[in-house]
Amino acid sequence: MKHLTKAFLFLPIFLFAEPKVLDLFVGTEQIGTFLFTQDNGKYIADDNITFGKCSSKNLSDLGVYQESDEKLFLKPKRKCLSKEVLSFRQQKKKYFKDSTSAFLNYSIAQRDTGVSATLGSGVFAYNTLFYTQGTLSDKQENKLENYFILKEFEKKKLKLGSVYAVSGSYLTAGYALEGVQISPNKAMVQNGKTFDYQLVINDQSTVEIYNNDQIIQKLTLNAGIYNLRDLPISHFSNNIKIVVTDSFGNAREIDVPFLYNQNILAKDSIDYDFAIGKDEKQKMQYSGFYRKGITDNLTVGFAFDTNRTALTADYLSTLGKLGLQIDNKKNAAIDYSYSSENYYIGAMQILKDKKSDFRINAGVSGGFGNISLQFHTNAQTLFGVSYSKMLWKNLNLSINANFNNTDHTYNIGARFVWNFDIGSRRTTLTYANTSKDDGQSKYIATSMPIEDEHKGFGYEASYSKQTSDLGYTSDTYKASLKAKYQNNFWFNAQKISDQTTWDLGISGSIGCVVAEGINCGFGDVIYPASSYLLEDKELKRIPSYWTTDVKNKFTSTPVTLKSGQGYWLDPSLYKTITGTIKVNGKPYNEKTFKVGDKEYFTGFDGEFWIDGFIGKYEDFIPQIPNTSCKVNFMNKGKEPNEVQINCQEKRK
Amino acid sequence: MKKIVLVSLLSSIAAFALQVHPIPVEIQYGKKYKEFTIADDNGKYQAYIKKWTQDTKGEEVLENTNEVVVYPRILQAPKKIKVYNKRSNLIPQEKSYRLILRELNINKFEGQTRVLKTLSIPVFILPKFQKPKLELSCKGHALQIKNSGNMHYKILSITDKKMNEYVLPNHIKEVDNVRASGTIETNHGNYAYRCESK
Repeated sequence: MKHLTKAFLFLPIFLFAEPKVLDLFVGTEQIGTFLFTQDNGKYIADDNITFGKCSSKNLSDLGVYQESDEKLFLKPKRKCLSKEVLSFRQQKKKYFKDSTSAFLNYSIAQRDTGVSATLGSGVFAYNTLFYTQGTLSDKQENKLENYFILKEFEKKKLKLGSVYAVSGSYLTAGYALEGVQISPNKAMVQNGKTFDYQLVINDQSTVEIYNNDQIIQKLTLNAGIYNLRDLPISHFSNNIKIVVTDSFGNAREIDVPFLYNQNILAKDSIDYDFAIGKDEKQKMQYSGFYRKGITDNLTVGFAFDTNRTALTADYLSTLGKLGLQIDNKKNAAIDYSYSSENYYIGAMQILKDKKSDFRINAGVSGGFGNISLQFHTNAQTLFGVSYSKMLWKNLNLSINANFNNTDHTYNIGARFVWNFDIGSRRTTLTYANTSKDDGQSKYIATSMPIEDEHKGFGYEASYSKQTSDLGYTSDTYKASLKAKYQNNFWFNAQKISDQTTWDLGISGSIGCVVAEGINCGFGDVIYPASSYLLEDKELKRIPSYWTTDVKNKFTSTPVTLKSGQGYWLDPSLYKTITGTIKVNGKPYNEKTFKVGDKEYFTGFDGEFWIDGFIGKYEDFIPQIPNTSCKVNFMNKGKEPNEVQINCQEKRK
Repeated sequence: MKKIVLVSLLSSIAAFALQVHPIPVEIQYGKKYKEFTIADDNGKYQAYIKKWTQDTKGEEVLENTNEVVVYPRILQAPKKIKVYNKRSNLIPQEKSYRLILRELNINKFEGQTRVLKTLSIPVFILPKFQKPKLELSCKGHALQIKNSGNMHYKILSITDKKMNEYVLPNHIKEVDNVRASGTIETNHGNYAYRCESK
């Protein structure tokens, strides 16, 4: 009789340790199952473990790791991560849709002092946005806050109503006006250089990219070094924020506002803004600028306001960006900035109307944390320093100190922020302590944000205590409950010393699109600079001019909308169609055919598959040269739509 | 081990300038579908899904099935393909299928010679509780590998001989002319065997 032994294979290296078979993960990505033994606390595998650019039997050569539940979780070293380019370049072709739509934003609040409502309405018709926004309250304090008509052409846009005149210079002024403004349609005319960013992902993570607090991209990435190319940005007030949430729910936010230099234009590109109108004192004012890229590194132009005109020049070199501005009243400004992967420095000197303003800021980041320094002198002299570091897992420490050398005031504070999960929900605990020249304050808070884009609940609660050197103290308690289901709902209560106040309210938007009747949906607030899609009764906000691939179960179709525009995704116009084609009764195998101006192909048995056909059933007319075809839908209204196509060759 | 299988599979695929990721396609317990990607320089394909069993000798048997569907069935790479499980996944034992991707030669003309690719990708629907169990026995110079667990085994090598064979749950694979003792390398770990004479 033969005897069988079943055992794991022990290699000589494992003779002195108990081996374990463990699944190795980077985030939730399993990179293999290995036989490990521990040698002086190190995990040694039976075979080389390869991750990215690194390969070793010793797991510590690849990064730091943690064993949990018969699994090993590896956080790879940066040198091991392989590099990948992610291009966000938008297709030049824009899939503009025609539509007539309207939305109404509302924010209605009930306070212990009364009721108030902020309403904003936008009507998009004839490719033009008509927008008004105002506040109503039962205290007779009704006011119109903003109104304009916006017409966006292919290369420029025209705005009538409430405008903000942009001067584009430190020496000239901008104004809030009631008037007219003309500027390039930046979404269509790309003047500047593209914005690129290198992102390091240690675990499989969800990456959300925001610009000016609007989400522009959400994607899931495995561990690696990613060059994010051609991120969608506008020319002004870009504030790119990248939120990386790993598969364990740990989130980190990366703010990158300084890396993009908006003053440098590509060669021969122009940028301009002109506005004229009346200010709040009914005085006529005008302001604007014109700039042109002479080379890819040198941009010159002029800026003006009602009182003065300035010449501007900006030069970009490997040593940084240098800007110079001189006006017709002998004022001048000079600025310099440089940034690299780990540090930045910026300085600016403005001499205007016999007053001097000088400021400098610098920062450096690395494994030791982030340090930034500020110095600012005009009528007063201010010094500032801040430091932040992730101390342990998700416990973040930040220290800030400011000193005013003119009036000899100061404040210095430390803040701890700890993020952790309760169940699957993110919770944040915050403790801060600040000392000032005239007193002290303490702050303790806990919060749980709403993580889902469309529904959920969250809360915030805080306590702060302020003590002055004169012996006065005040206690402040705040509690806030938030919920989201298509709309936002909130309830806030606060008690400051002995005084209690509260408010509750709702904010959101109703959007309607005229298309085969009127279709409406509810959702989050629509910004006039954004656009929205209606899917069933749900309203989804999307960035304007950004081509979005709209998906259902089987299909996707690109959609591009203008500012304030709404579009209804009519499920009956948006189909996946599959089936077979026969010509003279025989399967039409491995050949092409057309529907409209698009070409498709068949496989064996004449089978075909069309994603995202937009049109009615009667618009689905397949064309095969020299044939006439009959189309027979088998299951109208169901996805995917199945069809049999029978064609006959025409007699010659 | 599992990693090596993937690498060797992908490297053989790379010879065709073709990338399919991830392999194998595994629909986890509680999930209705799994998505994977095919990249192949605009190559055009037709996709079929077949139920995959093994006969008494461990040979592959493919049958038509409605239990699992693939979308889209006609596609042009690069493309994401979804494999849907249409049945309940409250299953005691892993179910196995083969996704066949057959390259199409659109508008071919007479006299044309072209090498067309066909891929057979394993698709598994995983049970909630995964219990791999392998029993080894000897029969003359043959080794009988019996999968008595509820998960598939992939045999990567027997002693020094490289292999690429699957043993599905409740199936037996017989391998002739093996050494009297050695090691079987599988996706669930290594197993040593020894066939002793009476």
